[in-house]
Amino acid sequence: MSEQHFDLVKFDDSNPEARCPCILLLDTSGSMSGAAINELNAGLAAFQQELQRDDLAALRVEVAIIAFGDGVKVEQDFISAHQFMAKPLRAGGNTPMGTAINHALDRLRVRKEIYKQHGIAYYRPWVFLITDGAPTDDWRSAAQRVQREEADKAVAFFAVGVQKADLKVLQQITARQPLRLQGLNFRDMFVWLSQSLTTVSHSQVGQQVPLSAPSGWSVIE
Amino acid sequence: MTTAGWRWHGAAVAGSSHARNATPCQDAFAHAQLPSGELIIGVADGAGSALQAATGAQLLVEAAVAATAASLAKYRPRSRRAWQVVIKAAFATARTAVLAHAIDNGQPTRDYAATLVLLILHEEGAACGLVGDCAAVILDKRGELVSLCAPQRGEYANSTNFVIQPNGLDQLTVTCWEQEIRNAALFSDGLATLAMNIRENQPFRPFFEPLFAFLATSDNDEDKATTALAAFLNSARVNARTHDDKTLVLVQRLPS
Repeated sequence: MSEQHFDLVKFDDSNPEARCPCILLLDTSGSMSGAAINELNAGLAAFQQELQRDDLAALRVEVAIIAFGDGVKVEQDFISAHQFMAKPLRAGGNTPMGTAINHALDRLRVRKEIYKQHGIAYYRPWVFLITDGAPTDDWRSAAQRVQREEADKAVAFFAVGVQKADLKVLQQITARQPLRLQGLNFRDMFVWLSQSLTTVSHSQVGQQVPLSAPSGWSVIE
Repeated sequence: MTTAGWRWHGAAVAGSSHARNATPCQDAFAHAQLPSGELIIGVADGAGSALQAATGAQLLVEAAVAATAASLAKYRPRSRRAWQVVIKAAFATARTAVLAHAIDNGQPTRDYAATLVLLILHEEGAACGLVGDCAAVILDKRGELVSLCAPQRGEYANSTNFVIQPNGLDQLTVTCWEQEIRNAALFSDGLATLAMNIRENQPFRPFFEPLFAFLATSDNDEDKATTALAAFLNSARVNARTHDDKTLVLVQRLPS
């Protein structure tokens, strides 16, 4: 018997890495200016750093950033975490949250189609909504769509309220319990998000991923 | 191990992510051989999220192999449809065993979720049944290398079918191969991305050929062969590509 045979075994390189898409849906309305936007930007930098610390997460997680304030703007289209470079956002304008939510869900739909066309396996996409205010546009139809897509397991939609954000509205948007950020602790929140995405990107077939409790950065109401 | 007509070796190794979390290997494999020469091998892969996955996989694969052996002792199918009946009955028996065990232990049945592939090698070919995303690859005497059943995947990378799910038996696919088999390999999905193009369900020949060559030169020292196989499955270059549990069973037909 010869163990050298094992050294000759070659691996198939034709299977693309599975992808784990995540959209950050960020409120950059005028009320976010000052300390809030600065802390949010510092949090985004921490998010980038944390994701890139894990090889598999860096390969598998895909980040997109959609900001809403002065209109709805794609600040970052889907990009592999290892290429992601956090850029500072600026605050200004209203809170067109409904439009932004619809835009995010549309983008996810397109992204899934691209994965399918290329035979790329993917995990359930995440949308992470962060806001400090109440929507200034029609958000009810967007809320219904979130509820519907969450029920169909098309998306996992999380919402975080900052400072005086209206959590009652957020409760009607997401089926999951919205969280209130502790002060302006964006950094710990993004570290948690990165660790959660890392856990998902490491998960195996059929695995429901137990996420760590969002402790340290959120307050229970 | 060498029995009349066949030599085979298998190993199941905990994935590096499981080793890190101190989770045991949740894969299992089992075999049986009939006096008439047929070799039955099964591989089950317990779901990572299921609390009793290791027990579920073990129960499932043992019951399925035993049920197939019992059926074949009474009647040897000659058509695909007859094989379909035999294999479906074996999956049903195995499913019942797991459900009964869950009920007796007061545990939710989903805690025992596992996938199962079952391969029966006989004189003229092979029959294979699958629920989930394990795989069975055969090399026939013409040199054709084929993955018999397509691994089942849900929309998401981390979803597949399990035998204990409510419609688990409806997910069963059965394939028959009517060419003399030279080699076979069964493996859990932890090895799938290394061993095959998953989208095309196409085995990667440079993966299997050295492994079959290893088997051909292996002697009958089962411990030594199993240790060598386990060391390969646990090697740094395998672990760099997969963090999941991995099971591999290799079979060779012996010259008569």
